[in-house]
Amino acid sequence: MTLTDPPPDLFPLVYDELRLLARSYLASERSDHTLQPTALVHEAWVRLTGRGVKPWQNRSHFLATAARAMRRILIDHARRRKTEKRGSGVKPVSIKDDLLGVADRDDYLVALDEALEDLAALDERQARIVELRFFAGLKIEEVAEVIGLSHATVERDWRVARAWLNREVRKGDEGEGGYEGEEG
Amino acid sequence: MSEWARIKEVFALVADLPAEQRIDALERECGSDVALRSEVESLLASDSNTPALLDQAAHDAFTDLAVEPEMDGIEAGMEIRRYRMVERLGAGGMGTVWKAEDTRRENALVAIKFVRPGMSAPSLLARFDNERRLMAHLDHPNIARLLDGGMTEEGRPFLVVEFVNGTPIDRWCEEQDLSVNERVALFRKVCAAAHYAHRNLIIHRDLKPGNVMVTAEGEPKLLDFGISKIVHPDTGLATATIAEWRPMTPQYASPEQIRGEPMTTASDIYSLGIMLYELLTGKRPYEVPSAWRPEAERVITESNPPTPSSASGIRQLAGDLDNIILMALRKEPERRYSSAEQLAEDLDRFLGGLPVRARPETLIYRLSKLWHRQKLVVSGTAGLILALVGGSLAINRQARIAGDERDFAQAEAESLHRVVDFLTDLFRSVDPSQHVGEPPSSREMLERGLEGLRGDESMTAAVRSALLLSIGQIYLELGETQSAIEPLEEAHRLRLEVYGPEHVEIAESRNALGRLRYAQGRFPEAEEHLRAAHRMWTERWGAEHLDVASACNNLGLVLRDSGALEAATVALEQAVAVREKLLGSGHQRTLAARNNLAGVRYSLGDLEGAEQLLRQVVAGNEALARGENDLALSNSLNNLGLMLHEQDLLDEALPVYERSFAMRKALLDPGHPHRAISLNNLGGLLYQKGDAVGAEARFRQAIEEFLINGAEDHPTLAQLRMNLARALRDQRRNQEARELLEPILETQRQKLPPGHPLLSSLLVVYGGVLADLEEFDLAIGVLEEARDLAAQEQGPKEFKLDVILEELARIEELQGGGAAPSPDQDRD
Repeated sequence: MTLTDPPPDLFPLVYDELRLLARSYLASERSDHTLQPTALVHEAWVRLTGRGVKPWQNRSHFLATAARAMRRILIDHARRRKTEKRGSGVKPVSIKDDLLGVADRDDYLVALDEALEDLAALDERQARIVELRFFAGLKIEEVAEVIGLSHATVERDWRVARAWLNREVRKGDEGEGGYEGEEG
Repeated sequence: MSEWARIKEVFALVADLPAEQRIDALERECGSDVALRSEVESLLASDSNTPALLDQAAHDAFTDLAVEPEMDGIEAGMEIRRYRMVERLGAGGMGTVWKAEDTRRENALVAIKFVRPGMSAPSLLARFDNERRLMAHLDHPNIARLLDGGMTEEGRPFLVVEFVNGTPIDRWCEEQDLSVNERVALFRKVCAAAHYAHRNLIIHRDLKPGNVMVTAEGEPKLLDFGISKIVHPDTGLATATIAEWRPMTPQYASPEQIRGEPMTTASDIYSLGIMLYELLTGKRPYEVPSAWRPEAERVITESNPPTPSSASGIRQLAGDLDNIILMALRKEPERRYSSAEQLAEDLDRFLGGLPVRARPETLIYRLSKLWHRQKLVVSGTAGLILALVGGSLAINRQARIAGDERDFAQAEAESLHRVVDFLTDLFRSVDPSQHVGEPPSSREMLERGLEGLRGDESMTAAVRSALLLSIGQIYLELGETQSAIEPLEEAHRLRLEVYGPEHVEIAESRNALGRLRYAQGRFPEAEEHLRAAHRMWTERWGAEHLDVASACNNLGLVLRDSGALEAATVALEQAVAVREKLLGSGHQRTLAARNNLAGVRYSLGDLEGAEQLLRQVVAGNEALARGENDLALSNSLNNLGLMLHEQDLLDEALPVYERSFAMRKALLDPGHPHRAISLNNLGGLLYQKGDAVGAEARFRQAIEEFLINGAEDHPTLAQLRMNLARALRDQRRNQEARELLEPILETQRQKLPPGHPLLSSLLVVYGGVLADLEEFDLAIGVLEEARDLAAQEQGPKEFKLDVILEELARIEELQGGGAAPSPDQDRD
């Protein structure tokens, strides 16, 4: 089983399904507002298999693909909004952002995506783990199952990867900020 | 194994260890591989700082998909109640905003905000409704009115606000190319509007240029008061917040806001200050990396923005506008303008050419931040300035304790002027252009400072005593005990006069006096002062306070050197605990207290425990050290060397001692007691290696150094001389040793507190010397006294008792001419 090379027709299929699902999910008035990527991924699985679409080898294979698709969806979204922000004028009425302002979060996501590429160059498996954890929202046990490694190894790799990514993303922040060295 | 695999392996090995074991484990795993070690350490730093950042970001980012405009389920032309949707104006984290027509009024445009799906918890809705009603009372020409609100059929709440056809204020100012005065006049209206809302108990919480629109007529309109919080009339604090609903733009957030503390009207004033800064300079006072919350918090709470005039190069801003803006941007809410109206009034005064109320951030205040952030620089004038600032802080504290803000302000102004005048005179007097030859040393500066204090009649006792305390304590840091006596005693005398013996200000002067007496080797007096300071501060602040920790730390040192090891342990453990809690375990002062605690362990005979503790302290100090030489590091290294030395690891101890001594030579002037101690320890190492001649030379150097500043009857000097006597005895120069020891014994018998181990140690050496001189009866008397004393000491004494018994046995042998009774004869 290869995780890194899904058949070419699988990825767009999962991508579209997830995206569609995200829309309908979010547009509908569900009362629970703890929307989770996991829920979405699992639902996509149920729907696709229900329709008899099954070009993947097994559930693990599907999850790996779905994680990558989710990553693409989120990053594309962030990139697109960044571009829009640059292109359009100032909004006539502003709207509140959360603590991590949406714009900043877009920057963060794009930076994270790039850092994840660097991590993949260093350790492909770790990058996969991050994808599954971060973008598909899988639990450690589930990741372990998908990757076929022990719980302990996945946990260790996840933790190191997280520290590494945090540091790399932050590096960019510091370089841009230029707030160091202020003294009265 | 690849490099990365190895990094992962080491990371996994050490990540879950407690901090103190990590250092050892890292050492063991990385050895000399510096690159590996620093990579792992840097990952560990990111690991511990940010347990949940990625997870949070993932969740947020995902939920964010929901705000894609096409996903709000609303389309142009749709009618919701009496409003017909015209176009979507924007979208953000909270939901979407639509431009709409009010079908019941002609040409009436409104803006409608829809809360995004997923934010419809019932409690939120109730609150939303409640706030909406309160907000509806805001009626001000410069605030966009809240007109209506309601619920869509799907149960999604929305707000209807006045539609403002305008331009954000920053863009407006640029497009209209407004002058500084025009910008100020425009902004003044913004402040007045904010004040109106504040008077109605509403704070905005998210003021920024995007929320201040300027209409075509040039009138500013504040938007989005609709989601602000109601200020409670009694406390001025915002009522409980809803966790899910915390709008904030980090770039404009106040320190209290980014920390999640209660917000007040002062928080809005801060945001106004940032906006004004930006409007007048075209720059932000600082850049906040908002994707990284701890960093954002650090930047907002710590950075000192440059004055607007210096940031922009616009000279017109210098002075009043600099002062006004920086006053609004003070980190502490209570030090900002007390209302937006005051800010508006100051802007009016500026426009009218009248003197403004804002004062520049005082030199004292800014330097005091340095004082807190940096350890005392021992040499150079920086130390003096910092100490003077410390002194003036003390004055301010007095006024605060008096409880009257006006007094506080006056005292601050007063002390500022005094100290600034004082510094100015001081620097003028050492101005190189008026000077020939070398620039003045810190010592000269201090002397001049003292002279200046003596001559100045106009200075109040409070200011004078604070300055004297500062100068005296600098002398202590410099190891110049003699010079510290006069200023510290004088400061205490002045304070007694002004405050009486039980005032909390006395605690400070007694703490300083305690340090002085300790340095003088007058331990009982030192203990008394420090206990008093400890008591007064504890009564005033409670146990968990840095002043109390300081008294504990000093008291611990005195108790240890007095031989009261259990009490010393208690005091130092308190100092460590309080500093750890308030400053963190890596802070230099926490490390200093730990270092002292290791000293007590050592005195108790726990060499391994002390060594382990000291290795942590050394590692901590290495991390903090600035440059090659660092005093705190030199102290902990010296002590670590001593532990190795005492465990007979002489070859390991030597380089550690030498490194410490090299630093001390670079940083300390001759005569500093620490230099003497280093020389003594190096001498001890030689002595133990059997080089009595080399040891003698080192001990003599040590004594010479110590005598530059130290008192003739100081216990440390007695110890140095005792070591010299040992080296002499090894060279069979017993008469010299005897002459050296006798006056010391005479003095120290009077001086040392009962139970102090130094006295018995002196007697052991003296007894041995007497025995070598064949003064057997005298020797036996001395050694028996030593034995009785040692038996009552705290701490390890087995070794000492063994030596005494050996000496006594040897004397017996020498006396009996080798005719010790044999076991066989015994039987008869």
